[in-house]
This record gives sequence, structure tokens and C-alpha cells, in this order.
Amino acid sequence: MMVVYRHFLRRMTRDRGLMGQSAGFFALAVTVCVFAIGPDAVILSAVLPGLVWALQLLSALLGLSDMLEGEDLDDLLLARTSLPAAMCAKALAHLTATGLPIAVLAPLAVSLLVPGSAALLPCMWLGLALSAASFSAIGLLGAALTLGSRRNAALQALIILPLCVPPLIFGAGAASAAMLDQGWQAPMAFLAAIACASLTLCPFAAAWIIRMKVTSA
Amino acid sequence: MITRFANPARFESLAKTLLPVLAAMATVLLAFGLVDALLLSPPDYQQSDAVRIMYIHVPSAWMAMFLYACCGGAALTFIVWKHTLAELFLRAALPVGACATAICLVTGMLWGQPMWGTWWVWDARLTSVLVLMFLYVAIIALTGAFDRPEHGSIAAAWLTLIGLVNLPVIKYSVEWWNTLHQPSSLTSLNRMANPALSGEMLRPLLIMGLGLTCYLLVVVIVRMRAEIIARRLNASRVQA
Amino acid sequence: MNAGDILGMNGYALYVWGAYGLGFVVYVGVLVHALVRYDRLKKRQSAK
Repeated sequence: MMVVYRHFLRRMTRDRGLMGQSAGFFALAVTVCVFAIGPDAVILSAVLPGLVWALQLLSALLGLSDMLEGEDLDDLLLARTSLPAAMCAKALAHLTATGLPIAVLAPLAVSLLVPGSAALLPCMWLGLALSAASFSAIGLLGAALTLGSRRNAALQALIILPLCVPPLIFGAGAASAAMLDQGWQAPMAFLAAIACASLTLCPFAAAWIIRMKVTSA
Repeated sequence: MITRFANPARFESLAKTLLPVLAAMATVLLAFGLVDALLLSPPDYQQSDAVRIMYIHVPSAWMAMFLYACCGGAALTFIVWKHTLAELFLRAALPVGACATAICLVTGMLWGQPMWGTWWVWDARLTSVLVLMFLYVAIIALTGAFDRPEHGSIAAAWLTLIGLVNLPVIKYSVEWWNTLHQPSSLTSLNRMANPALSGEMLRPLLIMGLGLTCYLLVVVIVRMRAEIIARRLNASRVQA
Repeated sequence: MNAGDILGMNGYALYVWGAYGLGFVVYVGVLVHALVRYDRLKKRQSAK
């Protein structure tokens, strides 16, 4: 499986510089939102955790349209690695390329912009990493569902966003709770549960869906 | 039994007998229900006449969830057994369920504004019903987005199954989170023995609920029959 | 209860009748749409 993972990762980062694009989009989107909201520091510090999570979700959506396109599905189906394992590797590659850079850098940026939130750093790192994992896994599911359809991008967003709402709510909730010095462990535990469930179940579901589509063709 | 009804022709004959019965039941029940709801049932002592919106809001909510659950069953049957009728039911029932959800949301808003002074609030039940609405829209969009209709049905069936987790969330949201939407007045047997809802209000509610169920089932059956004819036309066109 | 009471609905007329009206439009609309579609397809099939 490591071989498949590295293969996917190389494809994602080499061809279109996905890593840089996602992180760049995220940075620009945050900046745009901050400009729109205005420089009031009180409002910003209240809004920023939720904003970061929402924009991370949207950045994850960006990489999805070419997740399964141009993929040689016949090769995958015949390969020695089982399809669910390959799908898991795909989700992890997407995670590494898009989610993790944001998960690492965003809390640092937030701690710079919002005074006194350095204590949040571990919570935000963990939370963003876990929700990035969920978004990538659920995004893989959405890509599998829309495989072979025309007009992909908006449809994928339409499908994936409702399903990604729970990790979003728990992640942003954890960050807000940490910001107010309340208990952030409970939402974080839920978020971890969702991340584990999605990373294990979504590859199986995606593999099953792809197999059904390919064999019914 | 399942495979016995996989044959569309047999479904046709079943539908021919079932349809008039359901249509008659729907007409009678809805006629009684509407008269009951709008004229006979008493104005609530707290909410006065605005409580009458409940008689269309709650049955719509029931139908939205009921149809989604039926679609879930149909989706499972389609995926596991490749049952044709299940696929037909899925395609027929989804837009009807979406209509019911939309009506539930809109009438809820129209009820909320005079009663609690707000069109919308992000409490657990409203949010999860809104997610249900998005799910319906996403699944319907998915059915039509493919060049090969079978791919559309497969994708729609899968998304329906995945979205089934939303139903328990809707049902138990008023117990898990304590927010604005009132807790259910009808659930446990204990509650039924000492109903929080008086008999005079329960009766129109149940009649409207049953009537709406029969009515929407009629719509679904008509849609299924239309779908069968459409497929036959397509098949003969492809062969020709 | 007279007609004024029923139609006025204690001042909630707009909300109650609005809600029922919308429900009527949508639910009857979906039935009409289904019936019209069925009818058209039936005609096409018998024309073949």
C-alpha cells in the first residue's frame, strides 16, 4: 500500500502543484474574508476559528475534481493492492497534499493574528489535522459518487458539503471552546471518532461504488 | 416475495388495483382532515389560530422522513439485489420527499414568525431537517448528472444510504440538544397515555398524517408507472 | 364561528392561509406534474 500511496502523492504534487495551490487558496480566502469582515479585532477573534475550519473544507474541495479523473481505473482494479486499500491511499495522499499543510500552517497564522491565542496551538493542530482527514475521506466518497458524470465540480460540492458538516461543527466547536477556556476535549473526541470512522469506512464505500459503476458499464 | 414483484408488469397490475383505493382513501382523509384542521379543531389557548399550521407542518415532516426511510430501503434493495422496482421507486419518490421537506421547512418558518418571533434559528432539529433538504437536492441532482442512467441510480442509491444517518439525528435531536423546537408530544407509550396533545388536536393531526401519506403514495405510484413507460419507450427506441 | 372568524384566523390569516396555500400549490402541483407526464408518455406509447 505504501507504493500506491507514494504513487498517488507524486502524481498529485507533481502535475499541478496541488500542495501550493491549496495552501495558497486557503491563505487568500482567509485574507479576503478578513477584509470583508473588517479590522475589528474582537469580532475577528470570535469568528476566526470557525472561519479557518470552513475555509479548510473549501480548500479540500478544490483538490477533489481531479482526484479520480484521469485515473487508470482498470489498472487499479487489477493491481495487487486491494481496491479499498488503494482508495485509502488516495485519501491519504489527498490529505497530505491539501489538508496537512493547511493544518500545520493555519494555527501558526492564527496565533500571529489573534493575540493571546498561542495556547490554542495544540488544540488547533490536532483539530485541523483530524477534520482534514475527515474532509479528504468524505471527499473521496463524493468523487467516487460523481465518477463519470458531466459537470462535476458543483455537484461534488453539493454532495460533500452536507456530509462534511459534522466534522466542521465539532472541529470549530472545539476551537471555540478552547478559545473561551472551556472544555474542548468532548468535541475533539467526537471529531476524532468521525475522522476514524470516515477514514476506515469511506475507502470501502468508494471502492464498492467504483466497482459497481465499472462493472455495470 | 421481493423477486416476485421485480417484474414491472406485475407491478402494473398491482398498481392498477392499488391506485383507486389509495386515491379514494386520500380524498376522504384529506377532506375530513382539512375541515377538521381548519374549522373544527379548537384554537390553542396559547397560540390561538396559528396552531393550525401544525396540521400541515407536522404531517409534511413525517412524510419527509418516511419517504426518505423508504428510499433508503429501496436503495439497499437496489444495491444488494439489483431490484428494478426498487430503482424505480427511488427515482419516483425522491422528488416527492423533497417537496415534503420543503413544505415542512417553509410552513415551519411561517409558524415560527408569529409564534416565536423568528423565521429561523440554528437549533438542532431545524438544522438537521435543512441537511435533509440538501441531501434530497444532492441526490436528485446526482440521478440526472450521468450519461448512463444506471450510474445515476447507483450513485443516488449510495448517497441515500449514506444520508440515512441523518434520520436518527432528526428524530432524537430534540432529546439530545435542548433548544428551541419543542420536544415530541407523541412518542413514548407513556406519553400516549397522558398525551401532551389533547384528543381534539390529535385527531386532525392523525387524519392529516394518514391522508397525506395516502396522497403522496398515489403521486409516487403514478410517477413509477410513468417511469416504466418511459423506459419501455427508450428501450424500443434503442433497439429500433 | 362565522366566516369572518374563519378567514381572519385571529389575525394570523396571512400565516395560516399562506402556509396551507403553499402546501396546496406544491402538493397538488406535484400530482398534476406526475399525471401530465404519465398521460403524455401513455399517448406516445399508443402512438407507436
